[in-house]
Amino acid sequence: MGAIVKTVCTSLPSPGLSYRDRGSEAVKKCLEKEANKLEALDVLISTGIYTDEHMHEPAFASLIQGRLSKFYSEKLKGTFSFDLHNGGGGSLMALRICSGFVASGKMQHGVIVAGDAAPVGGPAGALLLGKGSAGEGFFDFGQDSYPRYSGDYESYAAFTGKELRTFIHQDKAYLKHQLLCVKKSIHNFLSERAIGLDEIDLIIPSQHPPGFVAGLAKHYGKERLIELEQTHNSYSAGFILALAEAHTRGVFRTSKQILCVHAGPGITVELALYIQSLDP
Amino acid sequence: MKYGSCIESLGVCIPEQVLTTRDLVKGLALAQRLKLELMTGIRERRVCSPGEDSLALAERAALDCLSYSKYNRDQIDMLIYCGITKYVGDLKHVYEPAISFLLKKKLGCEGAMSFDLTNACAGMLSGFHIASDFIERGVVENCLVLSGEYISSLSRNAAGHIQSTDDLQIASLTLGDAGGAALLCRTTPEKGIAASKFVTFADYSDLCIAFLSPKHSGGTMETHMKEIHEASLSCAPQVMEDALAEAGMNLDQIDLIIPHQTSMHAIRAGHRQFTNHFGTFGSRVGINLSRVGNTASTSHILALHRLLQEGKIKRGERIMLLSFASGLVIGVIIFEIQGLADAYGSNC
Repeated sequence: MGAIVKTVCTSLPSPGLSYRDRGSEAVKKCLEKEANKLEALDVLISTGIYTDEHMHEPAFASLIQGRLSKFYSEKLKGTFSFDLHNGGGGSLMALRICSGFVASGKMQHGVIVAGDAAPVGGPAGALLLGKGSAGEGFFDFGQDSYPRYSGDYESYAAFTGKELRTFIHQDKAYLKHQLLCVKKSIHNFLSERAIGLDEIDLIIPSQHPPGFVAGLAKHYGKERLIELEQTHNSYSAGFILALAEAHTRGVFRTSKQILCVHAGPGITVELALYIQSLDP
Repeated sequence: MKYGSCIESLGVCIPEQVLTTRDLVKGLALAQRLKLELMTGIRERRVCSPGEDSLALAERAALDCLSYSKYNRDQIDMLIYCGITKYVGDLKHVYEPAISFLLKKKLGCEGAMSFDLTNACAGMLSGFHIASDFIERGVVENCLVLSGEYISSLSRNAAGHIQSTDDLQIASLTLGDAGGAALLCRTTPEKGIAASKFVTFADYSDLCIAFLSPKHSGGTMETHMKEIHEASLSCAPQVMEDALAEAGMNLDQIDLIIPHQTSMHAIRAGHRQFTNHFGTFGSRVGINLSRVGNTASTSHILALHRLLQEGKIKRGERIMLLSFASGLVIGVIIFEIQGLADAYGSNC
């Protein structure tokens, strides 16, 4: 038994809004939607890479929890919050942790929130997970590393002597290498599980860098891939925004086997297989 | 659960360069300097030299840990980097790739699953909590939990700014650099970690904030010390009770409590609070402050490692690791010492 998607919400960027603002709004929308069914939120994980004011303590998830505790003090009473980073976000690794917590009885409900502060900015997204019934939910996971491409995408913040700046280096070959790695990982993941590509109804990928989803579409077909028309410069939140889009389009609920794909610096590729029954 | 999860080996990296509290706070009036050392119990801390950084501290701690382990580096299934600081090179705070990824590459365990987890000073113990879940469910056989806290830039930046002991940056003066590593692995359910409980009391999340300094290299930390200390003491007993219930134990069955190492004043106040709350408090309290200070997420590992090396922990003793961290995170891990006592205690 794995975790199932209960609801997905987003918060679009707006001038003056921080990641804490947008992340809190996205989580709040999730909690509002499920307020009647949710007794307590057990886990809150933030997977945003770039934090407001380059804050590194406390965990950003606890700052978001703190913002929401005045609205949901009872539901957030026993929540365990922490941050997780892994090559562009780590939302799928967070899903894996939550799914495990569901299986071991440590979690009934959890939220994963993602988004970034300046200079990346962009929207925030939140995903509320719950306990499903046998045979449904996030079922299987994979992670591959391709360290020979670790120099393709690097970012850091440093004081220059005058100001604190964020430096982002993206090699020209990053997109090409990312697509190569993802294709290899998907092939191996499906082969090892004896699943044919034609058995995958929907592919939900992360959305960075520009051209990534279009590159996947050439190989896997545009019709079963979620590509955001307007990414709003999303980075860490790209996967959750695509998941929200799949719900909006109605294709999430009509797909039996869904492959979630997250690729980011490292190069790290994360995969998750979501299975659900389509019975009415 | 299918399996239990235990701490198989530990490793530390303590930089050689010593910085005394008196040297750190030369700018303060003498009376305040003395008060600081007296209150914290920290005479000195270790700080990185040129060429040392978060990555190097974690790597060296990992190598130390693996030297005690039955596992080779290419047998590591999972690696979690849990440090607050991610400084590489000349105080560059690395966002990407993840530090865990860089460590995998350096350590030669590229096949391991990996990610970075940040949870202030509760980082490594939060890593234990998650690693244990993966091990207990049989997803992995082992997990290397690492941290490299190159955190002395916060002390230096604070020391250049502080005029009195009421300053919000005063807590930064307790900090010291260190690396910590622990390898958790599969065992039988009865020999595994007996309880692991973490709660974030986020009403207090704004009481301690650390960020990259916009004016200097490295970081700055602002702490409302009195408030966070009081909140920690008021929130901790319930989490301890829950963890003890999960372990099926009473507090008097715990032989040694290792709290987060902030200051002697805080540890003594905790002792009084827990005695009042539980009625009895017979456990020994592990303290490792005077020579290394507060080493953030690595502090429990350093204390446990030192006590084991000094032969002060015996096989069969029950340990409670108690975490207080910005957030406010209260975390408790309870386990019984098995082979660790033999591996490290032989030095005495």
